[in-house]
This record gives sequence, structure tokens and C-alpha cells, in this order.
Amino acid sequence: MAKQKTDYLIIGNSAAGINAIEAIRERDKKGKITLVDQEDAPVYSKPLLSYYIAGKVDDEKLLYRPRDFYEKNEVVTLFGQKATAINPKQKKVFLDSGEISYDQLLLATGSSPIFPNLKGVHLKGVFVVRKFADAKGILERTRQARDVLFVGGGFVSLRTAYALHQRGLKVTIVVASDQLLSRSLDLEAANIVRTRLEQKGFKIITGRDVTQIEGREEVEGVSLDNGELVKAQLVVIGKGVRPNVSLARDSGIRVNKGILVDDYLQTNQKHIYAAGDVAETFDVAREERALNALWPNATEQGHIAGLNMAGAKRKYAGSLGMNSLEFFDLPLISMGVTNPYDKEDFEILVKRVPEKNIYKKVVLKKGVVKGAILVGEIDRAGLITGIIKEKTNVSAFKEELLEEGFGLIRLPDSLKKEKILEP
Amino acid sequence: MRKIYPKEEYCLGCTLCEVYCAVEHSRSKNIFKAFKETPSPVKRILVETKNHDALALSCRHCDEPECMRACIAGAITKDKETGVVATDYDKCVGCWMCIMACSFGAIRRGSGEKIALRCDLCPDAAEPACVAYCPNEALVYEEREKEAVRVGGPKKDEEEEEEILFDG
Repeated sequence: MAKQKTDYLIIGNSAAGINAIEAIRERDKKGKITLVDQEDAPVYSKPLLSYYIAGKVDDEKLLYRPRDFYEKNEVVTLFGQKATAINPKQKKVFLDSGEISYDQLLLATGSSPIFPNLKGVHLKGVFVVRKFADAKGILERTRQARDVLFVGGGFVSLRTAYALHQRGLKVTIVVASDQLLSRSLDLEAANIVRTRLEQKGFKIITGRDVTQIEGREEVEGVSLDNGELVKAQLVVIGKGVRPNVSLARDSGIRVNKGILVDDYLQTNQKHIYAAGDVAETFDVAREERALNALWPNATEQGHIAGLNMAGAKRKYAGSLGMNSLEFFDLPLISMGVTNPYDKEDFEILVKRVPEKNIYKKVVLKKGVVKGAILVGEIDRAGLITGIIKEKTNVSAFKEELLEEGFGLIRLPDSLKKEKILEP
Repeated sequence: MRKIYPKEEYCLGCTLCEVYCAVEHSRSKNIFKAFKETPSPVKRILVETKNHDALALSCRHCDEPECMRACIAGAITKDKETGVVATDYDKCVGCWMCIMACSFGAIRRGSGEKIALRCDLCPDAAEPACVAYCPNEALVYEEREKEAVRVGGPKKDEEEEEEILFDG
């Protein structure tokens, strides 16, 4: 491949990139679409990797779209290729092996796991959970490992820990803060999760830093900041992700933590859009720019960027931090602002049914819901998501939000009618 | 597309739609046997009540389904021809992202099975069971011009052709 031309160039074959392709094809059946990705594989679901590790999905079900997706949508795939630079003025992207002129460009370059600066982090048996190869590696390692230790207690760690527990490994989770899921839950909710996991034999160590990963060639354990040595033949790092911004930054595209985009997901360079984990967007609950590297945000951003690249003028309403998890029949959902610092501005409503492990909390600011935690009872959780996104003033019925019977019928007639009753 | 629309002013809150929905989605499709099955059949319509008002709500088969965007398994699709939003239960892993995303609260967890269930408009029946068995015609199955608008959903394309400016 030397020089090529394309109407639409998409860098990144995952949630944002695929949804962008589908959106472009809604509006433009003929334009040439070219897709570049370093990984040479049909699109698979990264959030499903823990289910793959658990054995719940196989190689085929891991695929996010059927294998013939690219053919059906007439996409030219350049897999196994790395984009090395962009020239926004000439509207060109340089690859390892040539260059492509584009009319519209989407940067959906995703994010990469954060590796803490620890001695031993590159030992054999130390993994992250990000790519298919990581999941394969972890599965391979379970043949010889009996003890797995997680550094970090976020959603990815917990899902993978659950998967490996189902595979019969003994699980230890070490977190630096005083609770699991510290970015998504409050202490009370996290303690319900913790208790459930401990009942099932998980060892949870909070308030401790891992100071070193021990072993010669192969990992044998980790040292903690209190001098304790915890043995493990498999160590999984779950310290979050960082957006892959270097390509954009080195090419004159404005970057803060992620790539900065306007309301239409366009960057400071015309004809260049960004979507997914790499994009820094306006968070509707926090009311500030944020990285919300989560699947539903990536797919929606990809969809909207794709529409706009193909000539629409669709505004992006903003992102929302939200996630869902279930293990040992304990479901939980967290969204938006769940644990506000400046408590004076916020009003917090809580419902507890301890014997059923139910804990529900909504966080309000001036009568508008900004976040929620739902543990044990998650049915119809999306009603709250909708109310957060819509910025509905709930003052008149806020006490009903946590009741089991809460529904659209409780909304004022004007809102309800607009939503469903009238066509 | 033809959709199920509730008529709040006629709904008595009798929940017969829930019962017949569950029966239609049981293995036997027989009201006397259905509720003895394991897993027990799950209704995909829900009657909300408030004082004397009632409203029967099921999947809106949205134009741009939030559930579909949230699905990590690629299990949810919207048929381009029929407009039906369907879940492939073979691919669904029960992660509940769709339940978190659906602002109508129209998706339910399976009973015992880790799958997220929705209204499928009763493909095996002449018309959806909830509509057929509603004693007061509070549910209708019809085509309406303007589609339902989702809560918090993205706004439609803007009319005006304003210049897109970077404001970050």
C-alpha cells in the first residue's frame, strides 16, 4: 500500500468506530470507508472479556458484530497497521506502510491500561484485561496458577475476579483506598459488595499499596506497604485506563486529558472527529468535561460522530459515568455523581433493606438528580438514567424515586405525554 | 411501524395484560400450565399505578435505542425493515447494561436466567397478547406518524446550518 484515498477514515476498530461506520452507512451508502487498527481481528467486545475468561462466551460470541460486517458495509480494512501521524491541512494520515487522504477522519483510538510504576510489573504471569490476547494469556496461566491477586478494585478487576473465582482460583484483591469501586460507590454500598465477596472466600485488602511484584522470571506474589507478602502465581493489574492521545497531540489536535471535542464531536481541526475512550466530553451529571471511558458512551459518540461526518448536524447531549455488575446474585448499578465531596450543595436520599442487601441512593442538586447507586434492586434503573440526562426537576416527587413502584406515571403529565402517550 | 400504545385514560390497572403477556411468553402458552413452569414465565409489560391512574408500559422499539448502544454483547438489534428492536437471547450475558440505559424502564431481568427480556410484539400471535386481552381497549396496536420520543435521548438533527465552531 502506498497512497490511497478515502471519503471516511476511521482509526479504531471497536465500539466507537463500528457505531460510526453504521451511522455513516445510514446516510451515505456509497462513500468509501476505510478502517485502520493495529490489532488484526474482527471487532470483539472488550467488556465481554471477563465473560470469556469465565467460559460464559466463546470466541464467536465475543464478536461484537458478525464476521461479514465489513463486507456488508463495504469497509476497506487495514488491520495490523498503525497510524503514525496526521496532517490536518493536507487531510492525510500516515501509516507504517503508506498514506491515506481522507475527506472526514474519526479518531477512535481508545485507551490503554495504566501500568503502575512497580518493580516486577513485567514478570511472567502479570496481566491487564484489555485485549483478546490478555484474556487468552490469563486463561493459559490459570492452568498453573492457584492464587490470583488483583491490584485495584474497579469494575474490570471485580468482573475478572468473579470469572476466575468461577474457574476455581483463590482470589485476593488489594486496593489502596478504603473500599472497593471507590470511583463509583460510597463506602456503605461498597461494604455490601465486600461482605458478599468475603462470604464467598475472596480476600479483600483495603488501604494498602502494593510496593513490589515479587518473583524472578515468573510472578510469585506481591509485597504490601506494611511489609506483608501475599503469594500469587497470577497478578492482574486493574488501575484504570488512559486515553491514547499521542497521535492526535503530535498532529496539532487539541488535547487535555483526552481529545477535546465540540458539541458535534469535532476536534479543533475541521473534518477531524473524536469518539469513544479517547474523547474528553461534557459530563451531564458532573457538569464539567470528563473522561468517561465506558462502552455506552463510546457507542453513542461513535454513532453521532458518524452521522455528522456524513453531513448531519447532530448535537451530542453529553456523557455519563455509569456501570453495572452482578455477582453471586447481587446486582448493582452506579451512575453519575454518587459520593459528592461538597455535601452542602447536594441532597441525598437513601433506602435500606439490610436483610435483602438492598441499598439505594439518589444524589440531587437543586431538585435535579445527579447520580444514583442501586444495590440489590436494580429493576427499571434506566428511569433514573433518563431523569439525570433530561435534567428533570424531581422536587415534587423526589421521595418516590426510590420506591419500588416508581415509574413514568409519577412524572408530570406534560413530560409523560411527550414521552409515550402522545405519538 | 406498528407499536403498542397505552391509553392511560382507559387503563383500569387490572394487570390482565401482564398475565397474558407472561402466558404468551411461556413454553406451554397455556394459562393453566404457564405459571407452574421453571423458569417461570416473565411478563414484558408493566402496569404502573398511581392513586386511581394506571399506565401499561412495554418496549417502545425506539428509533435510536439506548439499550442497543449500551449492549456490550452486540445482542440487541433494530430491524431496518420492521423497526422491531430485538434481543438475541443466545448472545445476551445478563450484564444489565440495557436495564441501566432504557429510560422507559421497559426491560426486565429473566427469572432465574441471566438474560434481559423485552416485548417482542408477540411474533407468533395475530396481535400482541396484551392488546388482544385488554378488557377495556386501553392498549392499541397501531401505526402513528410521529414516533415516541425517548427521555434524555439525543435531539434530532438541527435545522439551522450554523457553523460548527470549536468551543473547548
